[in-house]
Amino acid sequence: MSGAGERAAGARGVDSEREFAPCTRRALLEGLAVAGCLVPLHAFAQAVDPAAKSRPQIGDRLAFATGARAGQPLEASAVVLAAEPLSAWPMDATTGLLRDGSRLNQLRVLRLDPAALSPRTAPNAAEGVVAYATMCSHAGCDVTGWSAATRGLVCPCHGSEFSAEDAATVIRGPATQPLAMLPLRIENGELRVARGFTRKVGFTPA
Amino acid sequence: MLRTTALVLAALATGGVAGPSAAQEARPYTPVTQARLENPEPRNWLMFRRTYDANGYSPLDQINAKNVKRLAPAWTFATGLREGHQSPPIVNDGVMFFTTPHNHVIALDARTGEQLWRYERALPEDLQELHPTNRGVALFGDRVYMATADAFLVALDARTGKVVWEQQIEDYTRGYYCTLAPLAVRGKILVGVSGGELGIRGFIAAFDAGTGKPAWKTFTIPAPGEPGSETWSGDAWKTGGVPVWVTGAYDPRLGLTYWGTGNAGPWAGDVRPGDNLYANSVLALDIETGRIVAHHQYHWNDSWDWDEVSTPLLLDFERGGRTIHGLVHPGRNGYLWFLERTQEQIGFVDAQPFVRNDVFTRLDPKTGRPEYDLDKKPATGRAATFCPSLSGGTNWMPSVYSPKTRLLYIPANENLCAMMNPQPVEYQAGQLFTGTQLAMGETLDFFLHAGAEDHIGEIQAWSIDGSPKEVWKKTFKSHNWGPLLVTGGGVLFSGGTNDRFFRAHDARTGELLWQQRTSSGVVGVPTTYEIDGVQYVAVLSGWGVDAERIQGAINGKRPPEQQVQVPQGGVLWVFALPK
Repeated sequence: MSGAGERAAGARGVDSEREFAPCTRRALLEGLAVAGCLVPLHAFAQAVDPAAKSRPQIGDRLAFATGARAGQPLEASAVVLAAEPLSAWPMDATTGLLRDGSRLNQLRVLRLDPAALSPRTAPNAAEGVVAYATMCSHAGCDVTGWSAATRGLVCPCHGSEFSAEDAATVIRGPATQPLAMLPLRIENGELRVARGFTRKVGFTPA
Repeated sequence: MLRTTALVLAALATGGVAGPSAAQEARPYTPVTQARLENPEPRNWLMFRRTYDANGYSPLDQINAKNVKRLAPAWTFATGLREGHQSPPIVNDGVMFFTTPHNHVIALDARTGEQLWRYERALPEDLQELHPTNRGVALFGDRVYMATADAFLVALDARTGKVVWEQQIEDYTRGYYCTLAPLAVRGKILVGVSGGELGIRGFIAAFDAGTGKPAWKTFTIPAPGEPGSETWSGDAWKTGGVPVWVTGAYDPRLGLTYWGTGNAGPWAGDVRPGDNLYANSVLALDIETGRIVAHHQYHWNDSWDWDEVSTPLLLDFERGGRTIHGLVHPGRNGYLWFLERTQEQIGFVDAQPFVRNDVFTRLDPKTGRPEYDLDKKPATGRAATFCPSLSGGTNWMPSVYSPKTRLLYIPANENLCAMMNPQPVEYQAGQLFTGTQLAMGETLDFFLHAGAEDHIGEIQAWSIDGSPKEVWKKTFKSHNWGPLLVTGGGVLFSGGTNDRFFRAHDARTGELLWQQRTSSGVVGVPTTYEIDGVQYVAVLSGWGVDAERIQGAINGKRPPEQQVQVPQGGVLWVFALPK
């Protein structure tokens, strides 16, 4: 499985011993013992900068999400034709902040033959480099698989496959909706976000 | 901390939708007591398996083997949702509660189908749902309890659907989620966690029914130094899986609750040397403390994804003239296990295959411990084929037992095998930690064994006394993912096939007595109840989750003209005899 042996930047460590954190909605609503209400404590144990959770912004750069260079800028030249997709995060171009505070921001980035891109894909690609949201439109798993034969992004959970050359439209279900695409441009050899996601990332529980 | 609190309040304010109708305001509701749970009125279905012994039997007999051919739909209800609808319609004195995928709870007038209220949990947008399903509610007092896909336990007011409290069970971003119906026992609400494919450390936990306060939490994998920890190596225990997918049973006489456990992860056993207690086991827990009093491990160091999670059936059977207080478990590993329960232990009695198992070469006659054909045991970088497939000889679908026929009924799958080719995998929080893809391909695939052209799905009926034997068997070309219901009227109800039928069989002979083609495939637990002298049978039709996954795998092995697409969309069907 592509990406199976890699560790995502920002992934939480193992903490199997953590005990329950009691909290009730009623206690919260009535303002009782709020200081002792521990439910979401783990979520705030490491303060997340809101900018790290916000969706990619126009002008953002991209950065490696996995591997030896995790967290470092991803240059266009590092995205090689016909190689398997890379995992990436958007990165604030000014501050260098990784937008790794939400799964919804994780990207699959790959380079395709520009001539093979469909008309709706080409305007969102930069010299053949395309970026798609990793989160599956079916049930929210990370679409980390790759089918070189079909240039298909494959979900390891339920087997949905999305065409990398055609705006991540569905080749095979159970997904019925495409993955969100993140339009890119290239500026001085750097990959930049050209526009926001083409559609809502993830799935609607319905 | 102030900012934190504000965020939490904002999140809770949007956390659910309840819409009681005017008709509901004055409607009486009968509180559910411990006495009622231990001895439910024949007219009601108050918990996942109806009774604590998990026999799945209702004594109602207005609908019987003679008249069931006249059974007809009384009313239906569309949920408006896709994916696997597996919840039993649970009924308490005329009020019905069931759950849907993505954690809606729907309360209906069980006689007319009028909606009383609906709760819709607002699930986090970054949630992944590996198994988009939910298997129902628990009732206690005047509350309704649901365990959610984002690993919360929610208590709702049974009259209004309003949230009374909610309690986090674990952190969904680390792969924990819930699919089971909680179990209400003596003022506690018990749950277990799913996430065996995502590197969790499984557990069963109890919460105070009134307040949601945690009562106890028992891990299914011991920590270093605890009994059983010697069956693990290194740090594998921290992310070793052993989830708890399905509700347990309870014996009020012994004060013990019995739960099946899933397999360990990653899937290839060579990366976690040892027996890996308490994977693939049944656990007996003290209801007051959660202490593990006894266990029986069906098979050690699993490498086939054979979770043994279906609810164990507590029933007495006879061996050599002796009545044994038993525990019966039709295993995903394809063996039918007969065990003996005492205050102190779970003992092996006997076991035999009910479908083809080409992995076990022998069982120890005293302990039941299997020996393996190692060529059939996948290991990292070493593919192996095996039968039954990872979906098992049976799966989560409840088997049932009728005290009238003294027969055990098993929804089974035969002639379906698998290939697994595990690869090295590194733990990453909340991500797949199996070592194979779950989609069919080079690391995992199903294949059809000779015989599959005749059938895959089965319903088997077994005698339980003396030397247990298969008494009758029905076969289906389709795989069978259908939970069962057996009644005092001598009728066995089941769906589970890809032709969308819901069927009634004669419990004694297996003869098909009635069938109704439904809106989708039936993977829900059927229940039956009585109001004003009328017996109803209720079941959700709503194909999805693993039934669909396996259909996809089978389609991949069959020519196009034999491939089946099952439409999705949940509909509750309620049947009765015409007046």
